[in-house]
Amino acid sequence: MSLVKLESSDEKVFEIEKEIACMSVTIKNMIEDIGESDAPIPLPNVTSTILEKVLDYCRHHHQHPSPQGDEKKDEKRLDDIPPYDRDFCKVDQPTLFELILAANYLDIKPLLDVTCKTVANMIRGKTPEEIRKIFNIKNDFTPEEEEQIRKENEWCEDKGGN
Amino acid sequence: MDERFNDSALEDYLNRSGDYSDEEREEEYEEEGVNYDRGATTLTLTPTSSPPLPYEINYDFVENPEEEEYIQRQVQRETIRQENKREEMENLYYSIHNNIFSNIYSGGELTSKQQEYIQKHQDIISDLPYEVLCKILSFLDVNTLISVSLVSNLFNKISNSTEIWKPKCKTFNIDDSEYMLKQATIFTSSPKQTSINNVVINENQPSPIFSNTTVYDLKLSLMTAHTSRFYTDDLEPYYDERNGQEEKEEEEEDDDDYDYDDYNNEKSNLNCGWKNLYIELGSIKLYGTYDLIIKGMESSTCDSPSQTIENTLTNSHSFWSSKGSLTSEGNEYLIYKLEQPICIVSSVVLSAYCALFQSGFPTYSPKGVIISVGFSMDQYHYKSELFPCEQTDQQQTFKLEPRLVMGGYVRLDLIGKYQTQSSDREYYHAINQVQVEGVPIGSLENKPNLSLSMLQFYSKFKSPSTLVHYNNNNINHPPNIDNSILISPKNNNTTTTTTTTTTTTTTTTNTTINKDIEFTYKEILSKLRSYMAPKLDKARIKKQNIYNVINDIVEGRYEQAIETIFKNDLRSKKIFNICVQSTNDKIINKYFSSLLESGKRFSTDESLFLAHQACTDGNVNILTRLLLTGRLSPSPELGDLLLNNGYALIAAEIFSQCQILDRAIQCLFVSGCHEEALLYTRNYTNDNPLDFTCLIKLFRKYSLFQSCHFTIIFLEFYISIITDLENRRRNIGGGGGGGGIEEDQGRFINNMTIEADNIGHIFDINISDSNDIQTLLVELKKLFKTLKKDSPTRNTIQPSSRLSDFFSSFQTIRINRTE
Repeated sequence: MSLVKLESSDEKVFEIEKEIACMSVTIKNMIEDIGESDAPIPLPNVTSTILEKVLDYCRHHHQHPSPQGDEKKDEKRLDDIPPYDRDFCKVDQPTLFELILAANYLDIKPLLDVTCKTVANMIRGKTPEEIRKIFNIKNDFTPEEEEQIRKENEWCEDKGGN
Repeated sequence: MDERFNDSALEDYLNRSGDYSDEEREEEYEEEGVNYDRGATTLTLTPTSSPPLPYEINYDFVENPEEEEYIQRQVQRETIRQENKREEMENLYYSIHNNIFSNIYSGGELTSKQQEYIQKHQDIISDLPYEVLCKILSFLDVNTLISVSLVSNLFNKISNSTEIWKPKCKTFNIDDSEYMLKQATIFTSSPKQTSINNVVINENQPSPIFSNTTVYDLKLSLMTAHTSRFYTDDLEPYYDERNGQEEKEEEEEDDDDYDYDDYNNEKSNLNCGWKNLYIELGSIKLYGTYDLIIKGMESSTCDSPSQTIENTLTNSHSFWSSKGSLTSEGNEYLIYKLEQPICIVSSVVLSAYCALFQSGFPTYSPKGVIISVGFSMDQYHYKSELFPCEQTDQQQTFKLEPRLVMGGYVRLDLIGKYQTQSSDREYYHAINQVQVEGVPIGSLENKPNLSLSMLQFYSKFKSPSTLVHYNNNNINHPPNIDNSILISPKNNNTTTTTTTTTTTTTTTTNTTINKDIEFTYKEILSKLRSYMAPKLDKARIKKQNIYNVINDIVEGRYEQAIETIFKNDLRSKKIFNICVQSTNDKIINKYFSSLLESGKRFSTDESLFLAHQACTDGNVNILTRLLLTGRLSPSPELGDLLLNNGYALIAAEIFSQCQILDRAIQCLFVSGCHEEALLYTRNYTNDNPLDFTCLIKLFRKYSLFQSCHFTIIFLEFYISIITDLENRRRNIGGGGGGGGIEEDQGRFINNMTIEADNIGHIFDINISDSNDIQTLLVELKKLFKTLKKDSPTRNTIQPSSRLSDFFSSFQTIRINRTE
C-alpha cells in the first residue's frame, strides 16, 4: 500500500497509508490534484498533536469500519456515539474544539459529526447561564435585548400549546 | 497566542460571567468581615466590568417592579442550580481557583499550571466557524435551542438560523414532537369507552353521582381535538413582498460571508422564518370531527342510480357500489371536494359496505387504497403509498400525518377487489362511508406563517387571487377584508398605524407591478378565514352547550340538562353515555321521555339501551310498538340482544328490518316457527340466492338440537318438493291447474344448492357424495334422537329496570310514526 506524507503546521511530517489519509476529503482532493509525489502535503491549519489524534481516529475507523446501513437512519441522534469515539472525545475543551476545526478543515465527516455531537451533548438540557459557564461565553445582551428574546421565545412556547 | 495572556486578557477573563469570579470575590469579602449583599456590591468591586453585564448582575438596573419580581425568581432558581452545580465544579477547579486569585490579589505571577487553567477557560466556542456552530446546534432539541438563544447575541443568531430549522421542518423528529405534545396535553383525549355492558347500576348505595369522575374528566372525554406535529417538504417560509428583496440578498450574504456583527432585529425576524414555521408545524390542532369532505365529485363507475358517491358522505345504510368486474384486479376511484381549496389532510377513514341483505354477509372492501391530494380534480401533487386494506366493514384509517399534505380535492384509488357477488360472480367495490380528517386553511388559528406558506405553495399550481371568491354558500360574495388579522404578531413592536400603512403600500405595489396578483396573501387568508368563521363559531357554541349540560348533570339539574340536549340537538354517543353513566336514574328516564316526545328516531345506542332495559324489566311493550312504528334503529346487535333474551319473534322483525334474511329466518326458527322460517326462505331471489350451508351454520351456533330439527324438516320439505315435481313430470297432462304452483316450487328449488357433504360437516357427519341427501337425512335423524331439547330461556324478570319509570308512564301514550 502506498504511503503519503503529511506535514503539520509545526513542520512535523507524518507518514500514513494513502487509503487512510483519503478518509479526509480535503487530502483526497489534494492528492488527486497534485498526483503521486514524494513531497509532504502541507496542512498549515493543523498542529502535530491534533493531527496525530486525527490520524489515530482514522486508523481506528479504517480497521473497524462501522456498519454502513445504520449511519443514515439515526443521523440526528445524540446517544448513539460508539464507545471508541466517546473515549476519543474525552479531552479538554481546547483540544476538542481544535479537533472540530481540524475535522472541518480536513473534511472528515464522521469525525466532525462525533465531535459536534459531543459538544451538543454538553449543551443539551442546560440553561443559558449554564451554557455560558461551560464555554466561558460572554453575555453581551443588554437587559432590553435579553427581555426581547425571552418574550419571543415565550411566544414560541405558547404556540406550542395551542 | 501569547497575547491572550496579557493583562487586558486577564481582566476580561475576570469580568466574564461564566466563571467563579463572583464567588471568589464573595469569599474575599467575607474574610474581611464585610456583610456581603449579593444584590448590590458586585459592581463596585471591579469597575472594569461595566459594559457587558454578566447575567446575574442585571437586576441592579431594574426599576420596573414587575421585572424585578421576575428577575428575583430567576435569581432564586439560579442560586438553586448553582448550589448543585457548584459541588461538582468545585471538586475539579476549586484548588486552582484559590491559587490564581490569591496570586492575582497579591500581585504575584501566574504559574504555568495557572496559565493552563486560564487557557482552558477561554471562550473558544464562539470563535468556531459559523457552519460548525450550526452543525453543533442542529443536533439539539427545541427546548435547548430556546435556551441557547439566550446565551449571547451570536448564539441567538445561530439558533434562529435557517440551516438549523429548515432540516427540522423537513423531517419528523419524534423527540420534538413529544416535547410539543407535552405542552398540549389538555387537548389530547382518551375517549372513555363505555358500552352498555359495563354500566354499573348501583342501587343499594345512593352514592354521589360520578363519584370517580370529575367535571374536568367528563369534559376531557368529550374532546376529540388533538394537536399534532407535522413535517413538510413542500413549504417554505413566506416573506412579505416588501421584504422579499432584502431577504434574498441577506441569505446570500449569510452563505458567503459570516460577518454577523451588524445584526438587527428586523433581520432576526426574517431569519426566524424557518423557526416560526417549525414551531407552527408543531401544534396543528385537529378537531377530530372527520368532516372535511363537503361533496362527492366523481366515481369511476356506479352500479345503479341509487348507489352514488353521495351515499358515502353519511353514515347510513346507503352505499356506493362500483360496477362488477370479472377479475379481482379491478380498480376504481372516488374523488371528493374538501371544505376549502387549501386544507391540511391528516387522515382518511374508509368504511367498506357489508351487505347484510345478502346471504353470508359479504363485505365488498378494496384490497388496498392509494390516497391522492391535489388542488384540482385532475392534478394531484401528492400520492400516497399503497395502504393495504382488510376485508371488513369496520372503519379503516389511513394516516397521512405526520407529513403535511395540502389540497382541496382527495382522490381514493381502490386497488383490487376481495368479493364476488354470488348472483353474477362478478367482483365489486362497495363503500359505506368515506371521512377525511384535517383542517381547512381558514380554521388554522394562530398560524399566520404557516397559512401564508400554504398560500405560497398553492400559488405554484393556481392563482391564489381566485380564492377570494371561493365560498361554498355564495360564490359572488364581495371581498370583505377583516383588517384586524392583517397585523401579524411579528410586527407587535411597531405601532398599528405603521403596520396598516405598510400593508396598503404592499397592495399598491403589487397591483402596479404584477397585475395577476390582485390581493395580497394576507387579504386572501383573511377572506378564507372569514368563510370558516361561522362554522367555527357554531362549533364553539356547541362546545359551550355541551359543557353546560355536563355542569348541569353533575350539579343535579337534570331537567335543565336534558332540555338543553334536545333544544340544541346535542344528542351524540358520548352525551348519551354520560347520561347512562349517571347513577341517578332520573336523568335517563327524563332523557327517554324527551326523546319519545321529540318524535325523533332513536339512535342505535339508544335503541340498544332501551331494549336492554326492556328485557331486564320484562316489559317489551313500548319497545315493540316503537319498533313497529319505525322509531328504533334496527341493528344486528339489537336483534342479538332480543334473541338472547328470548324475544325471538321481535328479533326476527328487527333482522327483517335490517334486511338480514339469514338472521330473520334464524329467529323465526328459534321461536319455533319453523314453517314461517321455511316460507321466509322464499324471499331469496335469483339475485340473492339462499346459501343453505351458511344458514345451518348460524343455527348450529345457537342450538344443536334446533338446528338438527330444522335441517330435518327442511330436507324433508325439499325432498317432498323434488319428488312432487318428478311425479308431476311423469304424469304429464295430469292437470293443467297446477302449473303456477309447479313454477313457484321449481324456482324455489332452482335457487338453492344443497351440498350434503358440507351440511354433514356442520353436524360432524361424513358424507362422501354431495348429492346424497337421503343418507344425510338418515344420519341426522339418528343424531336427533340422541339430543335433548333445549329451548330459548327467558331471563328471570326483575321488575325494576333503570327505565321502569319511563315504561310505566308511557303505557298509554300513542306513539307517532316517523319517516
